[in-house]
Amino acid sequence: MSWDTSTAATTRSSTIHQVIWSPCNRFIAIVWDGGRTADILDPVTLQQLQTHQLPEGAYPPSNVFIFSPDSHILTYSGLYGNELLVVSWDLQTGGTISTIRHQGLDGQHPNSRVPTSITYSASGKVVGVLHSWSLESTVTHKIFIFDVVSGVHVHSQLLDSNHQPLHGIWTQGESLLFATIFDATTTIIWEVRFTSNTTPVEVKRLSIPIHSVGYLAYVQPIPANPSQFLFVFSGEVQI
Amino acid sequence: MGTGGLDTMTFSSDGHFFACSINGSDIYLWKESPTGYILQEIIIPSTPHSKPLLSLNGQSVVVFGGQKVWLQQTKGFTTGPSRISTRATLHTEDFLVNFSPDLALAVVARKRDTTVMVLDLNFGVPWLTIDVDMKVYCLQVTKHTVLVVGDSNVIAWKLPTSDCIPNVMMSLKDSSWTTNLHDLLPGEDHFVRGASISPDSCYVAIVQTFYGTGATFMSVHSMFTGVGLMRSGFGLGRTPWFSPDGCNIWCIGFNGHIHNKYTLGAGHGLRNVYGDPRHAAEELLWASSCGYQVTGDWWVLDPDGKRLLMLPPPWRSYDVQRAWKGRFLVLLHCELLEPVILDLGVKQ
Repeated sequence: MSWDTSTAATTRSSTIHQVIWSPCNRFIAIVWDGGRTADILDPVTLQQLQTHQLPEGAYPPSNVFIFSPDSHILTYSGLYGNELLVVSWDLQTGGTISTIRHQGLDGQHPNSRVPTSITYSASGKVVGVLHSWSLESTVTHKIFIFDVVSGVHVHSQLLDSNHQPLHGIWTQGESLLFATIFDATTTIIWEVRFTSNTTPVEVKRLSIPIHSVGYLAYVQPIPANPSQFLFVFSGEVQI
Repeated sequence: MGTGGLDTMTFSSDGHFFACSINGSDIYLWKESPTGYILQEIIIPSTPHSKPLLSLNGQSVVVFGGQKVWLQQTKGFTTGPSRISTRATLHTEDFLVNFSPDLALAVVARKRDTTVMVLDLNFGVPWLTIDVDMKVYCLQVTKHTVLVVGDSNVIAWKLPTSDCIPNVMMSLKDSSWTTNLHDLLPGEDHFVRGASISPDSCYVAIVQTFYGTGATFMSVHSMFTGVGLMRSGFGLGRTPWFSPDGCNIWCIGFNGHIHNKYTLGAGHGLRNVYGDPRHAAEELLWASSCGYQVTGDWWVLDPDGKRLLMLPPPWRSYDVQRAWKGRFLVLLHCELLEPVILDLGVKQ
């Protein structure tokens, strides 16, 4: 394995916050302009194919973009004032598929948020958004489910103190999963169905590898093999 | 995060490759092998704090930082069934260093390693190697003694006489005394982040962090009794550092960005006062008190501004991963196999 020298490069007039590969490897999205603009680029030449801008009033930069599993849709999740905003664009037509504004961020303050996490269902029609915010040193986590094709809120789950996500959320079939720390040696994987509004269900307990250095930063599955998990510590990676 | 220097990680979808940036600097590419992940390549981006992103098929990598995006192709890529079988470990701990007051000796160790080496700076040779049998968090060498701070104690070794042969080996049984540190956080759900010994060797400061939450506490102990004298509340720092006069303790975060400054008050109180460690760079050994400097294009200049040498790429690091002491520049960043000590006062 070796690396060729850089085959293409591009710049923007402000900091690039996020870069995403489409699942089909045919697009790259770069997010810049304070998180307000996403450009779709050709992955070979980095030539710009499309550009999508957030509605006026959207509140970056604690926002995230994601491609749908079939790479046909680019979806954004962030804030619009005190509302959650989810915008989806059709990459085949360049048009907007849906713009969803949803309330339910009780007590959140724009300056007290921690990063959002978003994941698509395997069907590519529904997204789950984990939104977290702090108020008076208490962090609140809530999972929202949106149907981006029909543009509607499906259901939400306010996570109690037993379900404080360690990191983001990810998809397994028609469920989204997240990890919590049970104790110093155990992490629990929880499941929330995209389609039904039930409390999180425990699906797996994993032993945190011993002799690890530092504290557990996050747990996530290997994309091609969800039965294998990646443990990232503050100084070490274990699989 | 960054996570202790491990800033960004990205996998190919089959898990055969992953790339990561470490300490906001170089980008490492790892390839799966039957025995774990093997380092394949180190990319040195032209923009600091660049992040890698592998394509899902692993054939390309995007590197982005600042206002720029680069695309690089991989070649020789082959796919096959996943054989992930063992763990992959990245060393992300920098080295520790301390100098004797007369600058005749330096003591070095990789943080959390168990081997300590004392170097004779006059001859540039190892003089003493100690298997300390504990993780090392702080070192101090005086004229006659080496002090080593571990998870819960401080152990001292007397230095051999100056007429002994170089590279003496020692172990725990050769130690002179041990002070057990009392009043540390109870339980096992936390770990030691860093430690510091006061310049007069009377106190040791320990920073402990809880697993999971990352909440951090600092305590200061008597070197002689081990008793905890004071403890700070919640903080974000990770490495304590006594000021040269012993009156203050800096609590430094990753790359020097998160910081608290504690003043040791009367009655053994710790008072948190805001301070920017960059303003105390010489106290923290991040800058030379003699006027030497490393420029942005990696030239090392003497106090008159004369170019002495250009640091080669493997020796380039953040200023907080270097230490200056008199005419010596020490490179401590974790990617090195061993620390590099440059004597800038040697006449060519």
